[in-house]
Amino acid sequence: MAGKIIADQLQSTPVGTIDTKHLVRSIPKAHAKSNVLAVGSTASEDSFLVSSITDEGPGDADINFTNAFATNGYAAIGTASGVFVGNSFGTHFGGTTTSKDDIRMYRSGENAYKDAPFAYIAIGELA
Amino acid sequence: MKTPEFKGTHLFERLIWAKENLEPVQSDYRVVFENDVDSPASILVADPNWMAAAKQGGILPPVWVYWLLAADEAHPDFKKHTRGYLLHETKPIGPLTEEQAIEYLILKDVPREVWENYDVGNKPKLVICNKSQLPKTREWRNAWNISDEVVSGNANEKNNEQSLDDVFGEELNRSKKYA
Repeated sequence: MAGKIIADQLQSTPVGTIDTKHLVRSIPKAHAKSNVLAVGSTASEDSFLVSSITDEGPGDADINFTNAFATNGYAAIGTASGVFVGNSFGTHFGGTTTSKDDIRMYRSGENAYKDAPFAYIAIGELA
Repeated sequence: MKTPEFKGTHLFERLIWAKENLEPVQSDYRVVFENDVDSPASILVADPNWMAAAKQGGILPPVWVYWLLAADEAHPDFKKHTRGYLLHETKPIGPLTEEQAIEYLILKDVPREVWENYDVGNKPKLVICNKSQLPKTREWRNAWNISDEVVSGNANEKNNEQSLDDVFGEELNRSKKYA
């Protein structure tokens, strides 16, 4: 059933009151589970708020957002799916803007950027 | 399914409606572009949920809205977007074909310096191809670039097709006016 609750604040007697704007800002806004960095696979298994993903090279991609974030201070995190110990997933590399996040996947054992399927979320205030 | 008549509805809410009601569309098109001679070619892949929204119509804002926000962000004093309302209050565009959607995506997500002069120089900096035309493995991914063979084929087709300027010329001019 469709419906809408409109409230500026939530109150919990033992804990206190919080403005709902903080809750809205802190929920994940964008997500993607993607095989773009693996040829022959579909583009994304699931996603939201993503218009495209640009494969920039091994372990290197841009995630482009349909709705930009208000500032470049949004938080993002990701994981390389189902692969090696020692893989790290970085966000907010040099090409990052409010409308795209420049991500990298790095494997320390080989000291190289590596391809892998990945999952990603971004949190922050939207423009 | 008919798109609700969104008026001033936040883009985020329009996308939620699309996500809940539309089947994702996996496009076989790939946009290959070169932005830096020292880097391998980039491959842009349309998001399936975004493609479904583009083909449905009534959800996405006109592409010039993104150009205005990008122009704001490029300003040295930029701290925070103050014209985000353009995403939400500008009348959404109608349905696009898959080909038109890819062209929209180029104008939105490919760097402007690439698509604005994509056919100036010895070879185009951007081509649209089918994913089957890409190498089958990523073994030599760092060496991928636009081959001369693909470029020749596109040059022949270009005479019979509308250019980006033909399709989006009005929006391009509007962006330049506001930028």
